[in-house]
Amino acid sequence: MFLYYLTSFVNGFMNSVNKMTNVKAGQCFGAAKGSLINYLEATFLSLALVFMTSDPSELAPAHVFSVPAWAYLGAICGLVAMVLIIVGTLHTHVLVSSIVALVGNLGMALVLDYVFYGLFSWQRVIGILLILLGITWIEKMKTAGKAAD
Amino acid sequence: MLYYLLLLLAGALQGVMVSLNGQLGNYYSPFAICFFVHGIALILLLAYLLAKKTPLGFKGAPWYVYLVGALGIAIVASTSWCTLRVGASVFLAISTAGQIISSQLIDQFGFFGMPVQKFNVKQIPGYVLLAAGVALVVTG
Repeated sequence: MFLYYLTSFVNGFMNSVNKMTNVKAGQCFGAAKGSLINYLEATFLSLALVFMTSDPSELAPAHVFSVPAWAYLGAICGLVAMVLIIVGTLHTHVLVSSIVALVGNLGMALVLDYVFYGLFSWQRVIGILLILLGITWIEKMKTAGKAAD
Repeated sequence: MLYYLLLLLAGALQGVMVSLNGQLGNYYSPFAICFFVHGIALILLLAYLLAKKTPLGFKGAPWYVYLVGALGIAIVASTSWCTLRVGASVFLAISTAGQIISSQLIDQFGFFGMPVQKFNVKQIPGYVLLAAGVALVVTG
């Protein structure tokens, strides 16, 4: 289980680097084209990796269409979320916008863990509230430190 | 108020995305998941840019910008791999902690051309709350 926890933690690191890289791509090419380079490169690279590391028959139409259609909606959710974050952040305070998006993110994760795995506990709800409180504190103090400089 | 609701919805959609990509792990290998997740988004975004008649050229960015796709694959593959085993809330709690700590390091050393922003001891209680929250989610 430790390996999954460690990978989740590293995933957070990669997300931060990815965010910075996407910001730079957005500055160089514009927001939409900046995202396009990411999707374009990742699509072809992952296709090559499928052929190199696993059974390419998993991409056969018969298998692709046997998977429930709703399972493919994650990509669309991600794309819509990205647009909403850009619009929302432009019209609100950066710190507040990050916290509000995290409330939705972690809150929905709790709901979906219940839907898919039947998992729910109040301890997790309290844990998520503490995480949100902690992040708010960290970011507020960071902003306060910046103002003092 | 409307914009806060949009942000709340955006966060919820990201949560849905993580869970659905995790569910794809029941049917596909991690790299095939990456192919579908990025391929579907690519088609939609390409359609939008072509409809707007945006010229498609990618020259003049720093070298690391061109590695963004590889990073995207690593993120999607590790997200679905972990979510399927530990659930979305545990994964997101730990990943969020990773993001906060790495953001702090980026600020501390001014990586990616960001302005240097040193660690402030007043932030420590926040990190204690974050660690306690993650521990509660993981053991909950």
